[in-house]
Amino acid sequence: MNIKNIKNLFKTYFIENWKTDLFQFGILAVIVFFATTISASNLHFLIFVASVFLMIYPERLFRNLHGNSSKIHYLSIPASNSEKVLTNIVLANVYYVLGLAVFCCLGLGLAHLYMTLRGYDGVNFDTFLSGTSVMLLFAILAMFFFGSIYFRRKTTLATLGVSLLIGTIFVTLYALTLWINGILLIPKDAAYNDYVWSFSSDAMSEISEVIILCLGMVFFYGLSFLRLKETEA
Amino acid sequence: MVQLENIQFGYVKSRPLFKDLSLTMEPGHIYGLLGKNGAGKTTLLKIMTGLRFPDGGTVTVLNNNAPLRKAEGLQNLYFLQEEMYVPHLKVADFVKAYAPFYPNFNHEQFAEYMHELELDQEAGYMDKLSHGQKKKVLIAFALATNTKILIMDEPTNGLDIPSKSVFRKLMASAADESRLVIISTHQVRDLHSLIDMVAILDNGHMLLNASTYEITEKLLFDVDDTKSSEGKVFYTEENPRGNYQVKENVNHIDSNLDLEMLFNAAIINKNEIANLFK
Repeated sequence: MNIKNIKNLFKTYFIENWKTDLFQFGILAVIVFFATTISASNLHFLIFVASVFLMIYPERLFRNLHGNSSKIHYLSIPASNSEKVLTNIVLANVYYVLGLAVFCCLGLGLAHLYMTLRGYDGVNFDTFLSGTSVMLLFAILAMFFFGSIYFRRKTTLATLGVSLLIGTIFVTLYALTLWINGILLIPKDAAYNDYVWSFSSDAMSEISEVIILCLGMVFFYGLSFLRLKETEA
Repeated sequence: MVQLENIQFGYVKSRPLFKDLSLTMEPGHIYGLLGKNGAGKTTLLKIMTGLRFPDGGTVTVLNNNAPLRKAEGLQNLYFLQEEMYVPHLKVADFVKAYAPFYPNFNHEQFAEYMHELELDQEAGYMDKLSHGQKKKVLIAFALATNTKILIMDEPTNGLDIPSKSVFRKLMASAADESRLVIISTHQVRDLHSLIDMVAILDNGHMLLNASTYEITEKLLFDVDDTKSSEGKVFYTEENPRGNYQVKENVNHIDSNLDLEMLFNAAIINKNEIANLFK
């Protein structure tokens, strides 16, 4: 790892992308402003919008890998594969998240000001994000990050499709297991719902969820590095 | 500087493109890499730059294993591809973005090359330039990087006639004892005065890898037996000026190398030419 190469990669990114980023952040701020003035306490909607922006972002980070000549250009940049992946991890997890947060706050602040001036109550959220939800968001981001290297085109949609398919299979298998357990193991006089609920809540504490999500992130970023390393042009 | 040993490669396993291909290229030369369409010239360049991984054999470039694509290796190697990619940036911003990756990049040289190629650094966005102009910007950039290895795939494609001669002039001035330049091309007449080493790729092997001096020592490029009637004739081509011939240079007579004639002679007389240059 060479800090100078990483610095140069950041510099190149900002020279190439600052206008697009500013435009996207601006759109987010406008959406936040209008959404908040319409429904002053709908934090979940804002998180959903910001999450969509975040999930689409990795496709742009690795867009050069999706064309023949641009792929040669990207792979020939004098920085190692690990430096390229690390730079993009920081861009996605720190820079872009901060950008989204700042412009969300800007949209919220303007909405608050607008509503106060119009004589309404200001913005007042009664919900907040838990640590597990934040980690889940970052883990999903890591999955889209890998998808943007793994797939060759329409990477966000492809990642979404494949993850939904895998998710559906897992949920089906899980449901099937519970159903078989219900038939084979649960005494006939036991309350089925109580059994399922206690099983799932005991097995997963919040800490173990966070650890699993962290491992998921490491897994996807590790796979991304390996995928980039084996990418040919 | 560039060493390929027993390279095996194929896009389809049943049809290998390279079979035990070995090649060594040393600094201080401008190599002309020639071959028929589909011979694998671009693939060979990609293998050298670590963009393609061989199925077997080793590729060592500047003491680095090329497929690892290490930053130290890439800093000293510039690959100008035929189908260029240019980002949506002005030339000055492109230089700001990419020059820092090359420790020996010289901004004054770049400005000078741009001037020679009649380009303006403040001209519009690079992706809006014509094909030839894009190529000129990238040629100027490539030369200004001062990398130890410069690899160019069809660099004169798309250049207008005056630019081709400027290109030759710039290449000649940029070449030095520490630098290796590899040019893959079909436009041999554009570069015949430039290259001093000729490598001909054919049927998965290097058919020829020799200096222009060695070639003219062993082969005579003659018209109508003007210089000599001795030696085996490898290739003849009718021309309004007479019959152009490539023949064995038994009497070591000086002649001017004609790359097109050499290529045709080598392709037709593979074994004889290979044996002659063993």
